[in-house]
Amino acid sequence: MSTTSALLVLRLVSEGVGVAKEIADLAKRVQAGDEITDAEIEQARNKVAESVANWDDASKQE
Amino acid sequence: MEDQIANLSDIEVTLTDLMMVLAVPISFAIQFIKALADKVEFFKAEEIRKSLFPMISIALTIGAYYIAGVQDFVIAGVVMGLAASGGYQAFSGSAKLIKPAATTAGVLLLCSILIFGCETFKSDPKAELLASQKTFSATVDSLTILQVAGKFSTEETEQLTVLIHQGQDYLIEWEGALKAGSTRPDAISLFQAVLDQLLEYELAKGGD
Repeated sequence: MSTTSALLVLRLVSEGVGVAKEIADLAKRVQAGDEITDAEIEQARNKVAESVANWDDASKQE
Repeated sequence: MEDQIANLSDIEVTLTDLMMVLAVPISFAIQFIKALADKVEFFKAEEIRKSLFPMISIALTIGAYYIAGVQDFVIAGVVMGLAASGGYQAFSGSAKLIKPAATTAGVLLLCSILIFGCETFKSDPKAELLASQKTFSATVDSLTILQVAGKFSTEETEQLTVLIHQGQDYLIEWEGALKAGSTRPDAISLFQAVLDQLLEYELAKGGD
């Protein structure tokens, strides 16, 4: 495996680990009866917009 | 929780939240072992890899499920161990299981299964939306990493751009419907279909 491939895998893995932990934490909060706030939804919506914008930038630079 | 069912020939195993969550670190452990084995010439032979990695994966999974107190840990360990290693390719004639997915795409797929197949999230519409937003962002981010690495053709990039914008639009529609008082808007199933397609692209390009 080349260094570039290894770095690519590492970046992908860290992305996957990050979201898996967030989803697991969220499930625990729901089971504990914790309420999800509108601010959290808004923050996640902004993160979606940022991710989509990053994709658009990357695809234009192709 | 609404359990998921996986079939291996005539065998049925009920997958619980705990089993799916444990499958994530097991998948990473297998990937790590595979990466280490790549450094040793002996383990590079395809015949060795095909039989060795499923065995290691099954042993790890059975052990983890035993320690975690999973019921029917042996058969559950065999099925999930094969899934974690991709080893059921060897049983392709008789096995009917999900595509082997031990990479990030596999983790995201597990997140998606957890969100849309689990009563925990169905019981809380806001949590289901939030989890979907987070999974979608991570999916788009990892697709962007693959895009920067030049993994997609121009045609694939165009198709992905359409899907990504559709996914974002469905999430906004879903959020609006929740605010308007709807608990199960149509946007959920539409979003799920888009996410599945994005994950298929990632499985194809980001898989091992």
